[in-house]
Amino acid sequence: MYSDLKAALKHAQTPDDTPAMRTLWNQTVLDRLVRNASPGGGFGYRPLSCAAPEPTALACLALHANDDPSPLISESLKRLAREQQKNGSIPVDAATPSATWPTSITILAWCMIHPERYQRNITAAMDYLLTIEGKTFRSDPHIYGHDTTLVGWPWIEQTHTWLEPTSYALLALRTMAMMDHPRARNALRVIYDRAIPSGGWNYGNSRMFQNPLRAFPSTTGIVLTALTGQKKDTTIERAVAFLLKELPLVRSPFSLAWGVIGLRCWDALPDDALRWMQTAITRDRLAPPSPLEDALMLLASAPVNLFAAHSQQRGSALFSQTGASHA
Amino acid sequence: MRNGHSATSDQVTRWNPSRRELLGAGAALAIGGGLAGGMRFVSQNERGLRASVCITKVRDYHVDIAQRILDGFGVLGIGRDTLRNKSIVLKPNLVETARGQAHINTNHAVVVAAAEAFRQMDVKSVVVAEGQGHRRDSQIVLDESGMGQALREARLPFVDLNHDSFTKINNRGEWSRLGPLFLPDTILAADWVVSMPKLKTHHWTGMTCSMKNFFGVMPGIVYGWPKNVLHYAGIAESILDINATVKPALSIVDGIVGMEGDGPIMGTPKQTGLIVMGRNLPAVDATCARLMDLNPLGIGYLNGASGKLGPVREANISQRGETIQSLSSSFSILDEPHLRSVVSNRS
Repeated sequence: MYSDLKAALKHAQTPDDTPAMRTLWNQTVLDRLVRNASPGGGFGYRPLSCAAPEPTALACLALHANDDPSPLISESLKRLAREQQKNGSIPVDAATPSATWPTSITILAWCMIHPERYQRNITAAMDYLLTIEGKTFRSDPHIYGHDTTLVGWPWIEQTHTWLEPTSYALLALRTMAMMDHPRARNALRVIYDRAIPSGGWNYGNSRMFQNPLRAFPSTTGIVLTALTGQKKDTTIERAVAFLLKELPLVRSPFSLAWGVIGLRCWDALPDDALRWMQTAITRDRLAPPSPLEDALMLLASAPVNLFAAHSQQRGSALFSQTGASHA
Repeated sequence: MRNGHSATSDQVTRWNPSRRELLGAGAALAIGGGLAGGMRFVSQNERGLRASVCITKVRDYHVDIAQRILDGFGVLGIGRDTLRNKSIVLKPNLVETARGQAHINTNHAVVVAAAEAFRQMDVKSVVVAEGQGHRRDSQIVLDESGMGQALREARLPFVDLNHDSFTKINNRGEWSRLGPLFLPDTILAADWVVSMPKLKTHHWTGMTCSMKNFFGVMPGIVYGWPKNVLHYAGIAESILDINATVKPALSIVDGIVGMEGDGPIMGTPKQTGLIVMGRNLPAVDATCARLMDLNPLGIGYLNGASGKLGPVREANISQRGETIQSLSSSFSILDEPHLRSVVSNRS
């Protein structure tokens, strides 16, 4: 399946060829992503499968970050708007109205690509996002390593706060220049509270009973991305060190891409990263790469890191136009 | 940690737990999970339910495991006529992986061996499928567990159930307040869904085995990572609902190396050298509990399953192959109040 790309890369494996190599596989993955769009519009979790909001939004961002002229971007953004519920949320599926975690990622796509065109959708989605809180409960510190009374965002309504949805929501708030909002400050508290002492983050438990738990590269990358713009401190340094130790061993696109994006946000990406990504893209595996994986790899390797580059000013300007009152 | 002694069946029979003792504070403490209302722990009458469970000695992962599984099919009366042209989904436990920690997950050698055994029985297809509970990234889980390479070599497809297409279906259990369940189409399309768990202790439920393994069929995009919706609906109740709805056809438990202590993730390896198989999952899990020297009726979900989804009492399970007594060994568990009922058989 990847034989052409593999053969081409074999002849480009000198440091001097790095730009050529990047161009070559970027274009190949871009072509594949476009080819694997859902027949009915948007992108699914598997090639050519029914569209879902997360891969659709991230694919739009990936195409946008790589200056792809495909009409798929505008069609997909429109599709996301059609999937928005009356309460402003964008659920995984219309049949699962409480699974609203893709709302934040959709806000990112609308806001970073066509903020004016989707101004009303963004406002409605932000209004919804700010009403959703992870459930809290009192717990015995002997059992949980984290403070279960802190409030971030859940994956699914009426459940506890977890790190990935909280990070996506924080990214949305940052893009909207709302880092002074109390929810953003609370999200930062959640993130710092749940850091694993040896470095990095997992899904959102730092310790259970007597044992500290293990960090994951993907969540660590996502959280570091969400923390862009914060002051560098030992928690961030430990997380960066964790990724620098782990990523050379990771060849899975989802984890590697988020790890690379996270390192890029903190100017810590080593030169070898391109070669890690090249291996991840061309390796043999059980299933073909999904649009979600391809989109993340394209975002990780894009000339500009969209998550770090998107200015607060742009979001701020948009926010002042919407007239919404989130503060 | 708590170590105990072997239980006698008499001790198990005499112990008469209250509903509160059964769930204890455990379910109420699990990530905000609650003691769901209406839990029907009225299980002392198994109404004539009977099941067979086969226990097989398997020294390590290098022996001919496929042949042991085929032998188990024979013992359980699973013949070629039963399996011909059936589509099979094997559901291992890959909840979370860590390099050098193979005892967390169902070993790939057992999964490949099971696939080989099914293929020899003229089935239509065999697929391996998992929706692991902690890590979103299936590929890294396949890489770190060695499962990916093993499946590739055996030409076995893998389906990521966390991101599979899904369908809303009626909850056939209704122990919990989950309401309708959203199940992956890969699971719904299969003729036989086979649970392939690891024999492990669990810091909330006492043990995790065939039935708890089915948390991993619930798509993460709908239930989260971890699948916190199930915690809030009650762990034991959700286990019962999912099993009642999925209706698994068989369980093959990897007990060659198990896990004791702070399972299901942070425990230590326990060499037990066995595979347990059976078509009724409560009976399989009850047998596994006895092999671990745990009290099956002290485990909330097994107590709930007793008489509803299958037999749990020893007298109602026909043990084939090796005896429990010959292979039973005490698994240490966390010394926590909510796990007291699980080891109430130990002195």
